[in-house]
Amino acid sequence: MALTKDRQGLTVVVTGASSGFGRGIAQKLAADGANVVLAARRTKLIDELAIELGGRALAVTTDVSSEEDIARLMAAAESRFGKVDVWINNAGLGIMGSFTDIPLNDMLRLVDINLKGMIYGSHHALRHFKENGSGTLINMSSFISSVPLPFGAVYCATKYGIAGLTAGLHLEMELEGRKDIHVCMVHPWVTDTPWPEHSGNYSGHEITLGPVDDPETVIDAVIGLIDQPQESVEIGSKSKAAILSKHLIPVGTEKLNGILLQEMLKSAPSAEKTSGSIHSPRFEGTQVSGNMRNRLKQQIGKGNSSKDRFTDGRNNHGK
Amino acid sequence: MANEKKYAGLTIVITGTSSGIGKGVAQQLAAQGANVVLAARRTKEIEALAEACGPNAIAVTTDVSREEDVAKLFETAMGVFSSIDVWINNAGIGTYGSFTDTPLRDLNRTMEINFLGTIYGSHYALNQFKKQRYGTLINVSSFASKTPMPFGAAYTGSKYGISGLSNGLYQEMRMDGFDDIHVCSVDPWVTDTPWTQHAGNYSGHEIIVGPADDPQKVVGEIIGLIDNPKKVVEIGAKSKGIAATGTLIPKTTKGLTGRSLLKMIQEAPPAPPTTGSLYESGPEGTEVSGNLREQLKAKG
Repeated sequence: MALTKDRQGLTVVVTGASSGFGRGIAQKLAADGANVVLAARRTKLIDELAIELGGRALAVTTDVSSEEDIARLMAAAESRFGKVDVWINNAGLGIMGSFTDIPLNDMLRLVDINLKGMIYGSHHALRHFKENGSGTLINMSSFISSVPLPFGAVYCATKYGIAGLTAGLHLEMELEGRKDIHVCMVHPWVTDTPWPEHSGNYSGHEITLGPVDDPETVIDAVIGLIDQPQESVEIGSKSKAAILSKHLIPVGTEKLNGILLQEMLKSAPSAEKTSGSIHSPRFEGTQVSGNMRNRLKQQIGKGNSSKDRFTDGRNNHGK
Repeated sequence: MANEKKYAGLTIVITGTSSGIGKGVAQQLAAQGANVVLAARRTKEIEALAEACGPNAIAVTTDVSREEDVAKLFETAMGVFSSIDVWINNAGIGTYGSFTDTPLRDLNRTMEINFLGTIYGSHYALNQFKKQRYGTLINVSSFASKTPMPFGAAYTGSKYGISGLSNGLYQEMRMDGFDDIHVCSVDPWVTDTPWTQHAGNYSGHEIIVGPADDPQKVVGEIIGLIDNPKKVVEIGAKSKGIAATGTLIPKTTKGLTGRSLLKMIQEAPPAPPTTGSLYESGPEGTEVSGNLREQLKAKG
């Protein structure tokens, strides 16, 4: 375990705290003594987590796509802890499948959650930070914010949108001379959280992609930004490679990523079409980690020819 | 001019045709024989334009942020012309000012018009193109799809989004083997159209930024994509510069673009806060060109 910091008195709002990165970030920060405000749609899970984390955790049922919910989240955090020091817009979902097969209604909802949710959270956080003169905003993006994702075009577009919004906000704080207000974004590679269970999926196959990173890597990187804010952090060897090589040889990387991802999706077991947690949250997927690493192992066990793709982050891209 | 009726028989849907780049594209395509379907919120403007364009033009009142409107636009185009060869998602709007000063509903509306509108248009167009097994989708983005427009974070987010969508769709068509379905995106630099009159503005100043390109340059590039589809076209020396350098030395370019645009805004005459055309499209700004170049000249 990494060393434990004393974060007593620091108040951090984390959206998407019912599972995945958000849950892990909240657990670590609370263990370090911070006040954590847990936001998610799944009340039972965040209530239980708040109890587990002790007296310095507050659970507030929040659908980030609802502005009223975000306003209520900020008000609850302020009234309980006085002010907010760090706001982490972590909540987000994916949708996979051919663009023309995905119902427009699902795409609309994805934009509401991933992109409008990010705008609402950023707006409330930055207004609060300006009143207090300081604060750190951390927006969760993805490696696909700069590498297009075929069969996930709207999902990837929402991440591009987050990257543009966040880059704009970073520049805005700089030009306004707000030296103590930090705007950061995080670009993880595919990570083993419950996101495949929560994502909408019209691809006809299970979402089994790899190699996947351990969520702990991302959790540590996010928490690291509280101590050392940076405009943009790429996590995982793959993500760095994707972003770097995209800039140098865009066409090659885009094709590589696209073909690779499509091959992986097609070789996964078939799956029913689902809107996942897009319209209302599913019960499944309540831990920090998902079961992608297990599923990848099983596929390799079945003698999948693409074995090397699933095992190690270093052996396929950018040879 | 080359062959005058070069585009005879082609059916082209264009959104945002009541002024600016959309109007310019429609005028030129109609003059070269295309069937043009003119979409915009301002009924009077597009009806007058349809009349000026001749018998092969129809006007369909459309708010691109409403799926029902885009559905009706698509159905009307199909009903009259039976197929669609090119669909141009051109409609878009800017919102300018400090993020925290701009009302959330305005930021939302910017996203709905620019980003959701492009998703709706792309969905209807590509569904039809897949049935036909051919077609060209052209999404108008901006230089702000690669480098942030300071005091336009939501606008920037919407344009980054359009680029991500278009690039993803481009690949999807290639991988699905639709070799005759093209997805293109266009990144103009600041252009002298009426966008400055239509934008939401909370900056406290008139929007006078430049150097501003001639809209006909962008019109020409968009029409060029019909003959020669390309994944992305950057227009204007500035936009090309950003595309080239933005990726290699992002920080410097962002800073330079940001600071110079900020300085220009701060030097412009004061202006009261406005929602512009975000909710209701006003009568101002009905030509292809705006008055940005004149304003820049007057400034000296």
